[in-house]
Amino acid sequence: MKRFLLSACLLLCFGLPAAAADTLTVGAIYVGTTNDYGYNRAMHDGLEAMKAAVPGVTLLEAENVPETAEADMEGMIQQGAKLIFATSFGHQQSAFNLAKKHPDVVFEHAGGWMQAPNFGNFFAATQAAWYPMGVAAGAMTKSNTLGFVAGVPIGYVIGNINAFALGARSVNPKAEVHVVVTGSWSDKAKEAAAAGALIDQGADVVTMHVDSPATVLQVAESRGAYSIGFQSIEARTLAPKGWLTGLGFTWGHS
Amino acid sequence: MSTPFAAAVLSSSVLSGTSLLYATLGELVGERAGIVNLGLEGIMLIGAAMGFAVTAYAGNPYVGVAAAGFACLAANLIFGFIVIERRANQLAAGLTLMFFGFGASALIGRPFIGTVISGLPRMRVPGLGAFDALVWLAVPTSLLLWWLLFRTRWGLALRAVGEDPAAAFAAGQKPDLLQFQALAVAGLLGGIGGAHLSVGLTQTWDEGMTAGRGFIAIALVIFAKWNPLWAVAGALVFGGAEALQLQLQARGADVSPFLMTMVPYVLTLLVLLFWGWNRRSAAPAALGRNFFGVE
Repeated sequence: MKRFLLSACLLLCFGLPAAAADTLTVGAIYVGTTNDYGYNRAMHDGLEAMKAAVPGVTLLEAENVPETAEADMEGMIQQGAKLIFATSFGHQQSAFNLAKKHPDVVFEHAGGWMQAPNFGNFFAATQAAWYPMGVAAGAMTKSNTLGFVAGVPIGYVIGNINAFALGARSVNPKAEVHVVVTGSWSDKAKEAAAAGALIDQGADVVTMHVDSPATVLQVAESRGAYSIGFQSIEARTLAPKGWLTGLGFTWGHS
Repeated sequence: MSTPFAAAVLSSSVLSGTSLLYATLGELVGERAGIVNLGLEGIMLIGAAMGFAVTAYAGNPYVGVAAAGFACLAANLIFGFIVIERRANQLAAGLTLMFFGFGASALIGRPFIGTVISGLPRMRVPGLGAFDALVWLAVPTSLLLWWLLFRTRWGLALRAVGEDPAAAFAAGQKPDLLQFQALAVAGLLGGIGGAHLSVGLTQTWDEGMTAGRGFIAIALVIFAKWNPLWAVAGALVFGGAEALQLQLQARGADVSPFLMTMVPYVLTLLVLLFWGWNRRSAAPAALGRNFFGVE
């Protein structure tokens, strides 16, 4: 996938006769802020790595783009962007609509499934990593209750939860995963209350799939529960005693 | 190791209801003086951002909360200038304040996103949970406000301004000054309510983190019949609804999470539906109107 992206960038760089200055303007939209210690930060870091690795790339970024906004992407296209990264699942439909309107612009969407000649998807096989994390949780839990704070119950999230549960059951057939859905990728107050509720109801290992693991990790640490991180490995510093394992994304060349 | 369900719901409601209560009390004082502040959401956001930023900078959460209170007091005084001195429409000015709050809070909070702070320390109540200083002070604050509004001359004058500013003016009161004072108190409390979210509950800051709580607080003022004691009940009910749906999900209840997320808001609607009509007559008579004086 990374190789495809790199070659797509290079192709656009050198294949477009109109780009007289040999530059490529790349646009990226994020659903949250880029210093969120999590999902958006990982995407941003990957794009920064791309910018450093590929000469002549100008990067336009827009944060906190709601999941129905075509305006931000349209604005970037006006500024000459020929490659747009729509980094949140919810951006799919808007990006797809724009792809039909602008056949000369390539759209890369994270985590979706729609296809068009100038619209592609990318993501990581997170389920495969959640399974062994589930094994860790299943092995460490004493109460046999595992807590999972989920943001928005889309396909990837449910797949991650199921993989986590299957992994836990593979070593501990009595393990149960309780899921609390907060309804938003980033609602810190709800995440704090959700993590607290899971621990109140008996979970001694808590994990999450929300934009930033920070809040859930901090609550788990303050209540003495084990935690498993997602979206960011750096976040393990927030839970020095309780962190079991975690998964982070490195989108750029490392 | 799990807490009994009722205790868990109660403790969680108290924790999430506290910021609501402070915001409701603040709005209540302002409305008693005749000024409706639709910008409460923006005020709470400024409070949350300011509280977090100053706590991160100074290392002391109490300093952070105080700074948040005073920042929002200042913001509310600006709102007061627009609405009292310049006689702008309160609803429009309030909404403008809300948008201002979104932007200002994002600006203040941006350099501090991802910073780790030690928030307000909590004291454990065995069997229930752990609560910070703002939680402990919430009910005393409402009692104090009740006493101020209903047992002091200042409160009487303030309520008179909210009912009929012309009559208050004729009786020798200064409606403008009283309304400014009410807005100052409202700003202080709203800021503390916002700060509790970032410094007390979550120890993080994120743009828009109040997620509509300011508006819930405005509705709760109506539910409370503009009385600080009823505001406590209202905040508990709404905090309880949110706590209940999260605890039910955590317990493994097999209900759609989307329906669960709706519970607090549906409850607020029901409450307003059944009690909102009676409450109308309890509103300060001159709420929302500008007083033009006798000149």
